[in-house]
Amino acid sequence: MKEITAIALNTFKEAIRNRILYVILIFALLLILFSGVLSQLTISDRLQLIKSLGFAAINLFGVAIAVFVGVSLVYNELEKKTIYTIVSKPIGRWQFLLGKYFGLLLTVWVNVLIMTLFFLISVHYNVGAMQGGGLASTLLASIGRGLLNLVAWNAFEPTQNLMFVIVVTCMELAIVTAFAILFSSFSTPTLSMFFTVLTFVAGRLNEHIIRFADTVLERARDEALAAAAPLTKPFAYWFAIGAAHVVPNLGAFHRSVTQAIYQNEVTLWPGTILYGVLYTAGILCLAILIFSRRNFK
Amino acid sequence: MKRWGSFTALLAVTIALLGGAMRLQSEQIFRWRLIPFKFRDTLYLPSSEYVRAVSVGYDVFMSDFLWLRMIQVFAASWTTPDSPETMKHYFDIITDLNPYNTDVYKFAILAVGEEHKRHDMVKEIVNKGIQHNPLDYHIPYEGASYAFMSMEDLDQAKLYVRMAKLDPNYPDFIDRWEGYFDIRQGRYEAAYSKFFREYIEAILADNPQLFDILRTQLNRAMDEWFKSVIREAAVAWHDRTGQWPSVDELNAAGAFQGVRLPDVQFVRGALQTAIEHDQGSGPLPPEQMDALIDRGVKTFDFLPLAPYDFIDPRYQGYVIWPYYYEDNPERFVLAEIKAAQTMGLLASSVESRIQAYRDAHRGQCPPTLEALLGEEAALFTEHRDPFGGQWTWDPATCQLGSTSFPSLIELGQLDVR
Repeated sequence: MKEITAIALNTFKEAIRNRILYVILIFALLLILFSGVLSQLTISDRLQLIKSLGFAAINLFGVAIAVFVGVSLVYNELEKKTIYTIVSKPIGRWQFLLGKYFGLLLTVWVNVLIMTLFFLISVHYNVGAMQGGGLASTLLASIGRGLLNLVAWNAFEPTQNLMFVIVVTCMELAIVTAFAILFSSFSTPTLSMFFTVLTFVAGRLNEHIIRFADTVLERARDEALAAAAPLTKPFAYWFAIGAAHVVPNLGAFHRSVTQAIYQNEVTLWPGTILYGVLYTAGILCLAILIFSRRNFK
Repeated sequence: MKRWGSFTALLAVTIALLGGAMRLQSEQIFRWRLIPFKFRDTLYLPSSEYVRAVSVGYDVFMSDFLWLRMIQVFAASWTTPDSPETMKHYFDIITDLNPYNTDVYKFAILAVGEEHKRHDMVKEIVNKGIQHNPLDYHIPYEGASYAFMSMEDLDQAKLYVRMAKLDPNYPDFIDRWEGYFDIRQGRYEAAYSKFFREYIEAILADNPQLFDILRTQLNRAMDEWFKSVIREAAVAWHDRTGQWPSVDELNAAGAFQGVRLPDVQFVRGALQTAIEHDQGSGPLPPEQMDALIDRGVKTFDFLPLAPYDFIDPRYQGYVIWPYYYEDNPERFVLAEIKAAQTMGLLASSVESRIQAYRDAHRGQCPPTLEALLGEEAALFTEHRDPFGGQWTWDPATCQLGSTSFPSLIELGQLDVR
């Protein structure tokens, strides 16, 4: 445990020195702050738009951080041969990989926390501005409320349920980070990035894969009825159903965002969080499995 | 030195190139400004299935961006987008991506309904909104407004009102819409029963804010009920005799025998009793409430008193004014108070015309009403007033009057007893 913590903290320190992290973070913060300006274009509830943009920015740039920083973590150790100094010590490969994962996850979550703080301040500031508050006083009050909101999640009406959704987003990012580590453990950064992004896209479209399976089955049923023949489920159906089970269901985590913005009530099946934990653990085990058999030469 | 020379030369070349480019750009800007701007939506949107796939799970984010785009397309083309189909397409995609943004439904109703009168599309929009947001009153409420104002389909409006009432937090005023629509549809007894019940409930619940509103609505239901009965009898009389009767003549001829009408005295008494027993009496049992409302309707052999003002029933009857029949057959039966108000308003408008005439003619009064009003004078010279009297004009005093109320200006005080 001590070893994992040491590697994780070291990974975190290394990651926060990465310039690309700051570029991504600045873009995210700009988008969050810009949401207030963009919301002027709507004709209805401006807060909905601010929240929508804020959540999207946190999620999208969280994924970007996990991908861009994560894919080169293990590769760099191998490329620079620094891994020899680590594995020559009494540290298992699994500890090394878990340390890398938790270090990267800490980096992602810390960045999410920063973006969340800006997001909350932005929401509070816009609420204050809509009520006609002065610039300085509203900004100061918003900073205070935003900081308090990080601790007291539902202390203010406009930010009700937002922190809960952020936690759910963190779970989603934990899965994406695990994939970044998995691909990074056996591939080059470019390919790892490609694989991780594709996995993310497929995970987000998991629901569509199920719908596709249903459509295939429906078509097969119609054909069977027309030919008065017994129904044989086609290969495409089984493939799609199999894929829907294998590919991470990231859409399940994202559904709470819609609820938080438009329905004022977030309901999340507790199994979703358990699914996220089990899936992440499974992917990490797979990564350890591959990494433990990898030849460092 | 040589280094500085080459640097200066390069700087000069750079400035010359960029300066030339800016000069050309300035020319282009000038040319573009000469071409009048016409907005054309260049965004091609495939079906929502594909847009959804492209959004990679960021459905809400994509939906909100398209929502902004929809507003811009509508506004940029100055409320006349190329076609309502464009707006409907935007609406379909946005609400397929995120069906919970109720503002999109409201805006789409405006864009395709109010602007293009596409009732079929509005029905689709409202139905989709209700399907996805069954416990949100906003969409059916907008649908009811549209069905009432634009489609003039009161049955549809009532259906939407009932759906709006599925929202546990629907505002009180939606309750009264159904009764209002009943009045418009000639279902006076239904409206009367509804408002009577709500009025008593408001008293028992000690909700004074609602008293005035509900009393007005109850008055209106009873008033319209009375007027419809009188209208029907008057038109039948006119068809038979070629003459317009007075309400008294209709009454005397038994035109109101066996007609179901609200019993005004009973209603007044019931409400008075409810008010007196208000303190701590709690809700009335439903069967008692039903009996109370039912007893408020009676089969009459004569026309009962008009319902105006439960507390101080100063104006007690109706008049038939044939002058209104041709223009608006729905309005030619008036409650006395309304008839008096109408005469007062007419007198005021003539008074201001007299003043203008005198200003233009060195203080002289117009010799005749024709000289003052032209063709409009026919109202006063060829027709009787609502109370059956003759309009009078005195050029000596510059006064419009009538044999019913010799000094019409005083009608402003509405003392017509």
